Amino acid sequence: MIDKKDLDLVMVLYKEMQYRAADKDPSIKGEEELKKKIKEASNVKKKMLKQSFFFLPFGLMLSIPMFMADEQGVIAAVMTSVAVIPFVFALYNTVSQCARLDSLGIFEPLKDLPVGLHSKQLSLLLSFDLIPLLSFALPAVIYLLIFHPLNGILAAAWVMTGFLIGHTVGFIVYSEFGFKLGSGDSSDLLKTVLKVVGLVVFMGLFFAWNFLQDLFIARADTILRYSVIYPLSAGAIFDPIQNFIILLVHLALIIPLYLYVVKRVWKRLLKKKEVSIRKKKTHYDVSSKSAVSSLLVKDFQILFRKTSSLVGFLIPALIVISQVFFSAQEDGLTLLETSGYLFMLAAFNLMAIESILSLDTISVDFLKTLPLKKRTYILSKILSLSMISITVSLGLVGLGTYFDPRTLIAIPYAFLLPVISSFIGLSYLFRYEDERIGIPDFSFTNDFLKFILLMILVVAAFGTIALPLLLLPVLYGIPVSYLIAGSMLLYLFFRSR
Amino acid sequence: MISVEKLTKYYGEKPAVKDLTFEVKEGEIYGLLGPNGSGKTTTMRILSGITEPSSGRAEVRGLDVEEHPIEVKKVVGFIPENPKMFESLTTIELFNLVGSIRGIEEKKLRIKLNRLVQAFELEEYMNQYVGSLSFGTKQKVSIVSAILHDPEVIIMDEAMNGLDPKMAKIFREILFRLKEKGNSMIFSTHVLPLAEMICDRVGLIAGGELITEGTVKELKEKSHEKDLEDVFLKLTKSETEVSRVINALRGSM
Repeated sequence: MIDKKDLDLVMVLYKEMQYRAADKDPSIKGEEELKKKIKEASNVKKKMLKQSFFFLPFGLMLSIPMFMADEQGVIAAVMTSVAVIPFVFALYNTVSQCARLDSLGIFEPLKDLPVGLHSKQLSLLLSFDLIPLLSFALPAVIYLLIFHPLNGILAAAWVMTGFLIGHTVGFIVYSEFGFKLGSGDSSDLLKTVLKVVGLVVFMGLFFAWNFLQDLFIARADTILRYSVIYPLSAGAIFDPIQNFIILLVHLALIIPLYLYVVKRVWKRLLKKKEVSIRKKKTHYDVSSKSAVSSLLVKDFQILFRKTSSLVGFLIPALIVISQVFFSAQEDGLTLLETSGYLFMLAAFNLMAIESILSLDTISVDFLKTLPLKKRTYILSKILSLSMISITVSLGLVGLGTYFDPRTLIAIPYAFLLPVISSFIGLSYLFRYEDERIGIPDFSFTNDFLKFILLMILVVAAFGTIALPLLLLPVLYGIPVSYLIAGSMLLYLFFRSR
Repeated sequence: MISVEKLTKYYGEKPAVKDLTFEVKEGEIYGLLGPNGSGKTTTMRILSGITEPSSGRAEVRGLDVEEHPIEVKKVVGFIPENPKMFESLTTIELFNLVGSIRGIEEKKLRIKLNRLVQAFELEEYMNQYVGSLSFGTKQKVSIVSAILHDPEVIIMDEAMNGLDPKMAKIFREILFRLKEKGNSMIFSTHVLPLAEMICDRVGLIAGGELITEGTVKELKEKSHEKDLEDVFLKLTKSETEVSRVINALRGSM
């Protein structure tokens, strides 16, 4: 169990984490402001309550169909979708926070000390940011506890289980796909490629599970009535006995896996770096590019070596792809639907800001020694942030074209929308006056209000771009919409000069 | 070439640097000496365009560091005490990044890099991740990154840390050549014999203020001491404190 000493150490680490992030934030001016920010951020109870309070309205919105439903089937369907959220956010947050802890180097001073560090402290440290995420599921669970108490208890248990699954999967992603220093030779390149492919396959397991479940349902009548695999199992709470057994099976699998994985992550975080002593002259390629291109290349070199950082980009894509997957399975995709998903994908791209900024957290002081203008730096970050979204968007257009060949006309959206959303998000975060570069302290869960504000700005911009699609026939609306999007991008570009 | 006038930098209410005034001429190596926390690093970060001063004025080659930080960084090469470079880039990727941001054309970058990589014996580390390099090798990478663009001004914060005697000698030679070419340099170190060997003039700072400056010979004469360490201890008023600690240690160890 965690005792007071453990808790005190975790609090020190948490405070240190807040300090290191705030210290690199150029929008914080002066010692007083820094102290105030750290004091606020280090009040864990207040912060958790505040975060939970911010997430609650969104949980309410998600649960509204449940409050209005008469049939158990509808309640079960809503419960399934609600149960996915803690899983996805716990996964996202665990990976991004582990990467953040590693990049901020808060464990470095402890590595040489005889301090009794335990893996449970890691979960406790992460829990400060993770627990508020449960607010998303709270309204649905409370509703069920009041009106269907027994099923409500099961629902609460599934939310917690989904949360633990997400947390554990996040640990697996971090420990297996994070950056491990190699020698930098060609075998490392192969490992990097394999890690990226592995990560994409791993993230795709969610769809594989659902596919398997569909297969079960189609083939076996006996297990038709209730789902066996999370998250659909969370919707089968109205078969309490069977559902309880399935829950126990899930817990029996996930708890030992969690205990095993948390130790691996902990070891990884505390591992001292090994120094290479290889003595062999090798050929090297000298190249000079523009500052923006070189920074873009640098971001992707780091991103594909620290593959765990890719999760920050893949989660927003995964949220949209899951919708596309189910929609395409039912009736295929129309041009308008694909366009809608492209807008959604670009808007969710904002979630990846934290990941793209964290790539430079440690080395920002090194960049500061170079004659790098803030605008150049922001432009490179805008392109880095947009790249993965553009790639996924192009894949989406390809899929849409398979169902509706007219979708090809939506290709410009795949480029314009992610760049516009990245432009809005990063221009807002880097709006401080100083010409010097820095890393704004921004985390999707810690600064949820700021994230919502950015989302509102992007949705307003996207609403304007989408307006012609709603007012005019699609084939006429799209060119007008491109004109608006192009003008908007030009405006953002010249305004940033 | 470098001119500092009443430079002040506050962190909170405490000044890290206070009313600092000095000059470094063309072709001069100026040693910035002082105890830990005396304001050396802050001064050097301001002169490199990294940190803003709170008040006062600092110019590098006629460029005001507060008004033109980017232009200043173009002419300055800064070697920090504890360089935090991108650990998941290889050494050559890091040099390519620095060369690109500094706008060095490829041909020139290749010639320059080949020369420096050879001088600092980095050939075998070029395709290795920076994070896997030893402390000393990282320091060499940091030095090459800082002088890749032929800076007219070099600012070094404990730049010789981690270098073996052979490499330290090579680096000293490079500094003397650059000095002959007219480059100005600010050099901070706690290794006083090194400062004595390299610096044309030294400035002694404590508590963010300049206590005295001059050639090593002048300082020795002024304080009636034989070596720079004694001058340092006398002028920073650390002599009594050092004796007290040594006596206390004798009793306890």
